Order: sequence, then C-alpha cells, then structure tokens
Amino acid sequence: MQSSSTASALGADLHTDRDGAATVDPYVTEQRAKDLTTRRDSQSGPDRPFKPAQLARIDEALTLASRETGLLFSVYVGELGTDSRATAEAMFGKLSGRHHAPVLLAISPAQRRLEIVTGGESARRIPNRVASLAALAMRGSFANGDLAGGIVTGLRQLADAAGVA
Amino acid sequence: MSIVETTLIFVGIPAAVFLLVAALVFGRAAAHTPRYRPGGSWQFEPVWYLPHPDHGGPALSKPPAALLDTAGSRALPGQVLETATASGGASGEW
Repeated sequence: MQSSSTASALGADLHTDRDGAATVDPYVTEQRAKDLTTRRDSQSGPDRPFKPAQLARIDEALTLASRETGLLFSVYVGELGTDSRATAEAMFGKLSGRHHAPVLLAISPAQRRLEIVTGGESARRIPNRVASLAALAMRGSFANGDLAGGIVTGLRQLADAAGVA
Repeated sequence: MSIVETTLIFVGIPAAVFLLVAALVFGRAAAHTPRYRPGGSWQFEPVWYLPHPDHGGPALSKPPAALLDTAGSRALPGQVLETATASGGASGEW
C-alpha cells in the first residue's frame, strides 16, 4: 500500500444505498451489486449533485449509449484520490468483472480532473484519439460549470464513435 | 395630497417597480444556480451511475462466466469473452 488514497481506491466498490440506487463508496469493501440501476427520484435532492432534470438527461444518455453500442457505459462523480488514473482503473476493474466491454467516465469536480477508461473490446471500438476528443468536449462544459451537460456530451461522443453493436 | 399619498406615489411606486425588476433579474438566476462552479467546493457523496439493466443488454451485471451460458441470446458463437483490463482512454483537467 503506497498511500491511503490508493488503498481506498482499491476498496472502491459498487453497493446499493437504502433506496436501491447504485452508488459508490470508496470506503466500502464488501460486494453488493445486485441492483445496479440509476433512479432519478431517489438520486436527486439537496445532498445529491444533480437536479432531477439533469439526472434524467444523464440517465437517458447513459442508457441510450449502452443500448446502442452494447458497451457498458458508467459514470462516476466523486473523489479520485491523488493518483486519479490508478483509482479510475481500479474502478474499471470492478466493472470488467460484470461486463466484457465497460467504459468508465470518472469525474472529480473537486480536483477538476476527469478520466475516461476503456479496455478490451471497448478500447478497440473507442480509440484513444476519440476518447481524448470526448475528454476535450467534456472539459469545455465542466469549465463552464455544466457538469451534467459535459457528461451527456461525452457519453454521446463516445457512443457515436463506438458505433452500433 | 396628504403626506401619506405623496410618499406612496413618489416613493412607494418606484420602490415597487425596482423590487419587481430586481426579483425578475435575480430570482431566475437564484433558481438556476449550478451546483458546481469550477474551482468551488464539492461536498457531495460520490455517485456511480450505471445504465438501467433492462435496457443495457443481457450481459449487464453478469460475470463473464455467467455470460458464457447465455451467450446464444446475444453474442456470436466463438466470441472471445475476455475480462477487459484497462488499456486505453484519456485524461483531462479543467
């Protein structure tokens, strides 16, 4: 263990909160990933980062992108630790246990850092050049304070590049 | 005109108009304040969103081993179902 952030990153795992919606808690190590779903109503509120309308847009973009391409798109918004790339890749490892072609968009608003991780089939269908372009577009929106818009833009670009399954 | 009427007309009406315009200008902005400003703080819990399982294809939330059993419903026979390791992507800062 090099640092506490790496340790917590490797412990990052999916779990379901009391409303049954999928969230990530970097400090939870036990594995409970039965109800992986986004739920607009329970995921929005004063303590949630997105308003219901924004969440609906993200939800739609996420579902459409995944359905069109056959890849598993996933969006993480939260702390990424000092080595954000390693954290994102550890989270990607969790996803790849559930799907053969995941794509992870990890965004840390506090650090102003964003990571797009692909691997396996998703890396073949989304070249790094395309991922960089999507990251550029997302950075533009994020710099304007539009987190939800940037996420939706990134998802659309990546899904367009990946093509139909 | 009494002093009360004078005050109402020359102070009350301009004040009411001023407040109305101020409410129109700043009220909308307050209602649409983004929850994130670049460089600002971020105190929300981490969230990890995944697509709805019923829309994301049959492979969702199944390990590769389980996927093999149901591969006939989606995947081509003989497709290599390797576990993806992170090998590409992009990083960025803003």
